[in-house]
Amino acid sequence: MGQLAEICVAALEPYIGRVVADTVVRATALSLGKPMDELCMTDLPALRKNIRRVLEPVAARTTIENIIRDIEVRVE
Amino acid sequence: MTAAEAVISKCTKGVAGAGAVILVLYSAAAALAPGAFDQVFLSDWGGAILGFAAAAVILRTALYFERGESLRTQWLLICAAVTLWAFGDGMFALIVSSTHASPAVPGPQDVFYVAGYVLIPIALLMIAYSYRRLVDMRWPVFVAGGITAAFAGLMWLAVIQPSLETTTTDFIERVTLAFYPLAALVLALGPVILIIVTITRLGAGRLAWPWWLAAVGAGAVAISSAVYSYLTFNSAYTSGSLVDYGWMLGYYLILVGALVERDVQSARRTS
Repeated sequence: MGQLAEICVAALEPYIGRVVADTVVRATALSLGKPMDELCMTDLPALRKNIRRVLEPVAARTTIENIIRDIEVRVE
Repeated sequence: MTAAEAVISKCTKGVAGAGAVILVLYSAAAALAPGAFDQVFLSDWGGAILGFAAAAVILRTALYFERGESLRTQWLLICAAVTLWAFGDGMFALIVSSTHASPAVPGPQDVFYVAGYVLIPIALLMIAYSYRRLVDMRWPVFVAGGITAAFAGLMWLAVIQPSLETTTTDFIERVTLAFYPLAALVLALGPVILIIVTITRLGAGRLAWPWWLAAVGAGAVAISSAVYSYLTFNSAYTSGSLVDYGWMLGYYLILVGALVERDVQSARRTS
C-alpha cells in the first residue's frame, strides 16, 4: 500500500474499522483511475472530498474535520 | 490504554457503572424479596423515572450536534420515542397507584406506547440507512428481512392468531395486545437487526459503539413489550414482574449509548 493510502486508512480505522477504511480509500483511488498504492499528494483533495461525503451522514462535522486534519498532519 | 479507555469519558464510565449496579440491586431486591417492597414504586414509577432520565441525556446528546447534521435528527427521534414511552410508563404507574389495579387495555398509556412505536422504526431505519455510503446494504437488508419474516410468522402462529381468535376478552383488547408483539418484531426488532448487521462491518470502529448500545436497548424495550402483552393476555402479569426490568435495561442501554456518542464524536485522538 502507498504511503498516502496507508496514512488515510490509519486515520479512518479507529472510526470505521480497518475493512471499511480500506474500502473508502480504495474506492477513491478507483474513481481516480489508479490502484490504491499509486495515490499521491495531488490526490489529497479527492480523498478529502470522498471522506467528507461518506462520513457526513454518520459523524459530526467536527469529527470529520479532525480526521482530515489528522491526515494532513501525518502527510506533512 | 485501549481505544475505548482513551475515548470514553470518566463521566460515562461513572454513570454506566453506577447505573448497572443500581439496576442489578433493584431487580435482585424485587426478585428475592417480592413482598418487602412496594412493587408499583419500584418497577412502574422506576421505569418512568429512568425513561425520563434517558430522554434528558439523549436530548443533551442530540443538541451537541449542529442543525442539519443527521445525528441530531436521529437522536432527537430516539429522544421523542423514549419520552413517549416514559409518559406511557408514568400513565401506567399513575393508574396502578390510584386504582390498585392494572389499567384497562387499551388505556391512556397505550396512546403513548403506540406513538413511540411509530417513531422508533423511523429513527432506527434512518440510522441504518446513514451507513449506505460505507457498507453494502443488500446483505444487512436480506438478513434483517429474513429473520424478521421468520419470527413474525412464528409469532403470528404461536401468539397473535390464538390471541385474536379467543372469545374470552373484548376484541379491541385482543387487537391492542396483539399489536405489541407484532410492532416489537416488525417496527423495532427488524430495524434493530438491520443496524446490528450493518455496523458489524465496522468492526471495532468507534462510530458503531453508540449504536450497539442503543440498538440492543431498543431491542430490549421491544421484547419486553411483546412479553408484557403475552403475560397480560394470559392474566400472568403483575407489576414488578421480571419483564419490567427489561424495559429499564432498554432505557439504561440507550442512555449509555447517548453518553458514548458524545464521547466518540468529541474525542480528538485517532489512534
